[in-house]
Amino acid sequence: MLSQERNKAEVVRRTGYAFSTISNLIENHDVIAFDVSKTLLSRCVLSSDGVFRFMEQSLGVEGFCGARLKAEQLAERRFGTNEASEISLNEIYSLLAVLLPDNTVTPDDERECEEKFHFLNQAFVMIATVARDKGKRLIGINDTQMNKDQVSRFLEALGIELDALYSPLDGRHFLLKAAANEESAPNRALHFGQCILTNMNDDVDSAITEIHVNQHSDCLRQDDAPFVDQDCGEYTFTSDLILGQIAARMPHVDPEEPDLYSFGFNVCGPVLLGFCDYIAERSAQDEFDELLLPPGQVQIIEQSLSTLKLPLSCYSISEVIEVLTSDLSNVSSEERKQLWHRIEAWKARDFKNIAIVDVDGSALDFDFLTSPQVHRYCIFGQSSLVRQERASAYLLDGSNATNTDVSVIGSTVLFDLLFANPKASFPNLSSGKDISVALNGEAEAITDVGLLASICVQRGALDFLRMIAPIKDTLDRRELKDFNLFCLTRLVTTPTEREYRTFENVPFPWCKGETEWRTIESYWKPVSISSRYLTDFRRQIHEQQLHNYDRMLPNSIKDLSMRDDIGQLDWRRIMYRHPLKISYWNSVRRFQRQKQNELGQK
Amino acid sequence: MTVSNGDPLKIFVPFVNEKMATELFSENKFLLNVDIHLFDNRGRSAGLPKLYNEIIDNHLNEDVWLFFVHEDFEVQGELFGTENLAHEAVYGTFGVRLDGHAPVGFGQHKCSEKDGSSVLQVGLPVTSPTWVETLDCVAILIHTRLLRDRPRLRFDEALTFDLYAEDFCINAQENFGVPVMVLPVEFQHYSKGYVTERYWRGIKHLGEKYPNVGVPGSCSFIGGKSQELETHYTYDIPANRKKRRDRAAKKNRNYFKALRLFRKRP
Repeated sequence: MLSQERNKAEVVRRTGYAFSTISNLIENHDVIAFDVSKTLLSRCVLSSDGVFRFMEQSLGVEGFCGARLKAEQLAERRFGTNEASEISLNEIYSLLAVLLPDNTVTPDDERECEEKFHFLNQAFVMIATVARDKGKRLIGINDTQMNKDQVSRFLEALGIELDALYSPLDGRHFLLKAAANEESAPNRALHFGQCILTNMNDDVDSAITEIHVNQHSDCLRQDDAPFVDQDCGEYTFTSDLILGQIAARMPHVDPEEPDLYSFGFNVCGPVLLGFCDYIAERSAQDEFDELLLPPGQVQIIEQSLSTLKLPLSCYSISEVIEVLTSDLSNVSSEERKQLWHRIEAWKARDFKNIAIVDVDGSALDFDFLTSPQVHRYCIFGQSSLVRQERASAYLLDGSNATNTDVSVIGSTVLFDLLFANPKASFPNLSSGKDISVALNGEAEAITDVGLLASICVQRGALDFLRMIAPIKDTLDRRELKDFNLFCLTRLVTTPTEREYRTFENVPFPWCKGETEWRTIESYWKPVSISSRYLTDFRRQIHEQQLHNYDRMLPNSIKDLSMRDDIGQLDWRRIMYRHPLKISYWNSVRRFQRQKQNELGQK
Repeated sequence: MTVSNGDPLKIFVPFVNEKMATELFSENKFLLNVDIHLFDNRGRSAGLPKLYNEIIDNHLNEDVWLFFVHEDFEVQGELFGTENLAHEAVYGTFGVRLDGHAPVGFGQHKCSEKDGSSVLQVGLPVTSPTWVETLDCVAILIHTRLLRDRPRLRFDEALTFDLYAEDFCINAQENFGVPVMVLPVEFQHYSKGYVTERYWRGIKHLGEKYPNVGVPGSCSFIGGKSQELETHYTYDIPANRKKRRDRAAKKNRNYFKALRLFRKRP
């Protein structure tokens, strides 16, 4: 459940208005209309064709996505008119039958998939609730490909009650008709929507107050959202789905969460998902169902497995060693009995159904020689893996690591934040309590900061898993692995300044206990840091502006700037002779410097 | 989807090389039972769009498939059947569509010099009708019913020998929502692509005619938005390389000629 403050922040991002302004607007209108798609409901996938890609993969219809998009484009031109620009799904499928003669997909299949990938947008539900509390009539505009009955049923199941549902297929000026049906003057109707409907451009419709709602994908592009790799790397359905989750949560706009939470949600979450899925896959292959983990990692892996509903049990290596080596005098008789049963069972099966998960190599002290049959898994390939034949890594195999991969292996330092165990060291530490009181001033400040950072990252990662758990089966393992590898490589080698500064004050966990402590930032040496994150689109605009400015420059100024002896020029003399030229040139230089600063290092 | 059961197919071939047209069509064993119309265009030298539009006008009242082909097009296998084809589509034997940012040609065929030498395999094979963005001018198949219902869907007579099929496809898709498809047929095209100045003039004309369109053609991107597409992909067609080099050399010659004009006199 997202906090109200976060939902208000999303409203600001997506509408451009403060929540109080929207509340006042609602107050002054009688009918509040919402577009159903991308306003009241959001999609799990970022791009509009994500669902089609999923259908292509899941239904096994080759070329479906491209043909479906083409069919929609053609149907708009064939069936769309000035009177009714919107087209029905049946019209699209009538053209799809020509484009893809072997197509077996029906409109109902698509409607089912659409339903599967939609979820409730809490920010707009909050607005709807405010409107309802103020006694306004709520109406929906069904701009989805689902039919009215299906949408009504779906919204009802999600707990949204609308007074009426209208469709753009109702014809021209459908909003005016809707307002008339609701017995309201057009200027007393407020519409939240994308305004892409051509009907809305008519002067007649302008009487209705419009609030343009930005799409999630545009919000990710709006500014320097950290740890987001949109429009980079290979486009796959999996990357689309993960970016869709990030866009739906928008952790970077949440006023209550720091950027470390974004790191946890956007980067650690997908890695944790991929790693848990990898272990589950290997458990089926290698026939094990119990995991031994270093003490710090038990908690997070255990929670992840339970969130993803994967049937694997976790045990701490240290507890096992303690039991094996101690005389069990300080353990209650019931616990002793249980532990011995467990150990005897393991011994009897010769450790065949046990695997060791060791993310950061901290389980190296466990004696593998006594149990050569034990499988061992980690996220990155580690040099120590050569000790064991049955060891394997999720992301990289140490033997074929390239230069880039090596830098990713170096990024394990970032993952120490994910796999630290705050509660083991500080049992009283919980998010509900005042940290300073809980620690009682006994722990060192460095450790405190490290632990708080860990909590934040872990919360982000687990929140991601909770969001994606219901649809995790739709992900492709290989695509997820490639996506994780790409994002990590990008982050470690070329982080943005905001990303780099996220770890500014986080102590490096390995130097605990040393006299001199350092931060993660001081160990992490990226290839380059872009001064500000600019999306490709904004970068293109800046570059085009620079280019245009260059073309506008008079040749005399260009020649002046190209002179070899520019450093030795007597500027006062030149200023005296050509005052306009020099001031113009100065303004050009200022503009260029400003743009180049924004573009950062190339 | 309405299919045209049993409507006849007529092949129309305007030619300037009678020997080639006779060999490739009248004597072609795969076209024995097909109604072929050879048009001698030597005296008139009319642009193909003009000829095609005249043929359309003459056959508009019949229900018939009109198959417009170049004289250097040789069918080398069984011709496609038209029984199950939807009449509301434009068909051809070679076409292009985008895959990501890269144009992909569909309709595998042989492309060679006029004498049959230097054969290249071009395009991906198709086994069933496959949608594309534009068709090549070499062959285009249309049902008269499609044309009868849409009087504005005709060949652009401002284009003479290049790009008229591409223009027809863009017009069909953008203004009428008619799909464009490639049909499976085995053939050889005895003409390696000649990208001439006339072609670039045609490209400029289409850029002005369709300012909001960017589609891949056989030899270049087409439409007002083609520059945007060119930032991601540059055409380099093996069959056009020779001509590209010639064009670059001509451009350089003109450039140096211009320099000579502005040279300072001693």
